[in-house]
Amino acid sequence: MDDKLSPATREEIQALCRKISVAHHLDAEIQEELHGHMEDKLAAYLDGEEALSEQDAFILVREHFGDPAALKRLLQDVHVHETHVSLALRLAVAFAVTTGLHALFGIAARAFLHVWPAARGMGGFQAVVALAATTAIVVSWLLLWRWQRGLAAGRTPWLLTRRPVYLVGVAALVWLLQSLAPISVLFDGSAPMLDLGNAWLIIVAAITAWPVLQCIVWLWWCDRPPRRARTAGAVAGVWALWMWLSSSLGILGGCLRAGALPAAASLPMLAQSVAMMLGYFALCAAIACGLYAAASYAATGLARASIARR
Amino acid sequence: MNKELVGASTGLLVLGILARSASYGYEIVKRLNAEAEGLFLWQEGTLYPVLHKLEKAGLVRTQWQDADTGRRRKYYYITAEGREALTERTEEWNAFNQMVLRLGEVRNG
Repeated sequence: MDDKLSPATREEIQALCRKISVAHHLDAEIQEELHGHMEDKLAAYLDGEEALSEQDAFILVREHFGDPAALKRLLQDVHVHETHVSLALRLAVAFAVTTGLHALFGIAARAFLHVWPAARGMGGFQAVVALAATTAIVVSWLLLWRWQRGLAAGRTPWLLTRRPVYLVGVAALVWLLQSLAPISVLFDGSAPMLDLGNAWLIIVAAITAWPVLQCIVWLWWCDRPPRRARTAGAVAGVWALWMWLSSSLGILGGCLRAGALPAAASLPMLAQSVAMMLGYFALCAAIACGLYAAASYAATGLARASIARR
Repeated sequence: MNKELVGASTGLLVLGILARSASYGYEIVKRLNAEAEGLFLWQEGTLYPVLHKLEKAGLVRTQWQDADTGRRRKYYYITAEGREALTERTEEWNAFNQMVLRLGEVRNG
């Protein structure tokens, strides 16, 4: 009876038994006993001694079919998800959420620094700004993730019932108001410089990490199967353009608030800074696209491998 | 069939099987399922914790034996204490069963 089982099958049974670990000094004996049981059962199926019940047959079908989650992922790479949310609306929602949360947490950070000036020194300023930026990104992802689940369950969140133009308009207004809000000028001192010596690389990495993360959140939210490179390109492009525009306008707004329009002589320098910012955000968008694509392909590859293993 | 009901009586069922003849894990399950006649289907892995518990309680003893296949099998034998426990528990079940039936009749009557 045992000759029917191949060494590979025996090894699989052994591996299964090894997973059932009880106590080191007992395991060998317990595993031998379980191994014997499984071999008996398998051989009985092969011999036809053990009848295949409906439940047994279903287990076989399920195992042969593969992990439903992996299969879903593979199918979603091929078929368009049934949703009425257009790319324009998704972009508008991402824009509105990002702008709203950054305004909210930005104002909160500035208010905190105003109320507690002692926090501005010794890296406190950077820590508060970093915390606000990180919280805004995490909360935006949580919100979008919740709405994504709602959409998958057939519900349409309120924000997604609005027209894209309306959302963009409101978000732009929020951005403008938060830029002009009195709270933003309560603390008009420049950020205290932090001397970290040779740690500049860490600072650059950290400064780049936030926009990259934010762009990844946008990509994840807007990316609907079937995955298309041009969709990702469009999303990253819009994101980079908006970031560049808001930063440039922020600089200009800062100059206006200080009552100092850039002198004619300094205009080329200003133009150079603005151009560099465009390059910086384009680079962040490219990094985000690369990371997102790598993660997506890795997940699909794992799903495919898990199906193939069965 | 109610799983809790089966779970509460597994030890008794296994002792009942072993009281007829000594047996090993796979065969015990086969015999139990045959006796059940479709009333329930045993989750086979869960037999071993029951068997090992009975062994620890001294109600069964074990012995490794060589099978025809050349592999070793662990046979379970019911002990004298096991037979006593089987008698006691069966009486308990009978009494309990009588009560359930009586109450059921009152309700249906």
